[in-house]
Amino acid sequence: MLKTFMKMKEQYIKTEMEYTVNFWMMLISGIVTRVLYIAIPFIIYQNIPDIAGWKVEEINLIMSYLFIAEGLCSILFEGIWQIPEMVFHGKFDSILSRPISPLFQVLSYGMGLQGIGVFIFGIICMFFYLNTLGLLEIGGILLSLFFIICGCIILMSVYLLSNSLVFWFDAGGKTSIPYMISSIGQYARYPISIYPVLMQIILLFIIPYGFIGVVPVQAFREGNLIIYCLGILGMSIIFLFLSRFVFYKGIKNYESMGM
Amino acid sequence: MRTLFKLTAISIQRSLYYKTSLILNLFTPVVVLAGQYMFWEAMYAQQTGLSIGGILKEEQFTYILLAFGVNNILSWSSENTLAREIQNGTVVSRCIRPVSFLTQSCSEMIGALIPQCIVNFGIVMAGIILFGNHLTPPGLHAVLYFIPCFLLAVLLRIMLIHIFSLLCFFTTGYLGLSWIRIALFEFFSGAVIPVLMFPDLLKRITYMTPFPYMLQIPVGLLLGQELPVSLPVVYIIQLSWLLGFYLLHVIIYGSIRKNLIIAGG
Repeated sequence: MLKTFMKMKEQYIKTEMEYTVNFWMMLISGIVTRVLYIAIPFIIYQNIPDIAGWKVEEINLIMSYLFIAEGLCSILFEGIWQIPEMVFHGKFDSILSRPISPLFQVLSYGMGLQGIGVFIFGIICMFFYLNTLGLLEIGGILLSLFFIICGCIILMSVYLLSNSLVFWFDAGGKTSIPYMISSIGQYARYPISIYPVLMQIILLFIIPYGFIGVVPVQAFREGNLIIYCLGILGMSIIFLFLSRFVFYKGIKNYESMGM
Repeated sequence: MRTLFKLTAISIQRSLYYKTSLILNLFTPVVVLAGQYMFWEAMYAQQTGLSIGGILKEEQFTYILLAFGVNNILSWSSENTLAREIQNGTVVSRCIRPVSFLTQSCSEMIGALIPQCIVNFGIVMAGIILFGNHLTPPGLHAVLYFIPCFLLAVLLRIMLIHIFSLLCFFTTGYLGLSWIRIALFEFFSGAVIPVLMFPDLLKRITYMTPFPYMLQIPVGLLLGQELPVSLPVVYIIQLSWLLGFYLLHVIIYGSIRKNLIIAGG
């Protein structure tokens, strides 16, 4: 299964690399957008001394984890964003008619080239800020790897959940909900303790972006690594199964084009 | 003009057809607005002083509300309609219609933004009525100066989206172009952070781009903030950028028409 998945991604990247200009433009677009994102805390810190006792380097490390997770999701699971269009145009019929898991087909469909730029930029930032914060050692790197994997699973699950909502309402092949959820999640680029309790609950348990960047950096700050790691792992597993459940529940609601 | 109105009406009809989607699309930005309030509330709560970057809390809160109204006039899907059509080839139907390509593109976006503008206006008014004590509501003079500035800002925004969409004729990756455009717009227009908070050098560079004239300047006008240039010059700069975008459209679309091959038909 994994071999087929990687083979499909390999074919996508080969196809895309045939169009050199397009390939590089997508790559650069990923980097440009993230450079601008990371400039925001820089500007904020020009005007205020600190945010709830967090240094700008820590905020940027949070962003690095988010960028890596976003980049990986874009490279590996871009197909999720095609669900609304597949459902509206009836392309989902062909997904259901194949003798392979629909979820596997959706996940392996397409590839977000910009994700490569985002991923590379995120990795560079992560190493830079780990080094700045004195965390660039074997333990820090291994923990970061764990956070990245869990972050990627959480983000993929959120994308799948939000895009699966199109099975329940007629969206004309386009919906803003996944983008809105993603926008709300972006508030987890900053320490969530600064927000009111309701927002903290949203960012931790409803749109759990907090577990992608803030909680890992909090773990480094506080040192209760086992508890934090178990929490992150637990959320990844819960959201993975929840999104899978919602996706398959949604399929039952799908009205075919009549193949 | 009649064609523009007709196409705009069709676009509104199309937007209104999917009701659930319409309602969700119209009101989802409100959630993002709430998030922005919480963020800046937290930022001001961290401060010992009254202002951040010389902007008082009330002024910043009003800025967020007004910037929301000016910024969220088009949804992701409406912004990318032309780009998507170019990517999947259905754009050909636009090329063969006896209406100018630019008129079709503009009227479609205007049609999509009218319902959103009405809702945004309602949200801004509701915000001012409900939270007026915490805001700095604009005066009548400011509103009068704002209206032409806002209309020009909307046209500028539409032209910017149109030009970026045209570039999709040269690449299959419309998403990349859209993201670059959105990131540049959100950052340099002051949608995320007011340009007044930027460091001096960055501020000077920002005012040389068209982006602040699409959001920061119109909102700044309403708030009575100091403008980088006098008001008549603001209008002239906006018109100049519009002319510049129009010329770009003529050049890019001319080149596209020369190289466009329509298969079938």
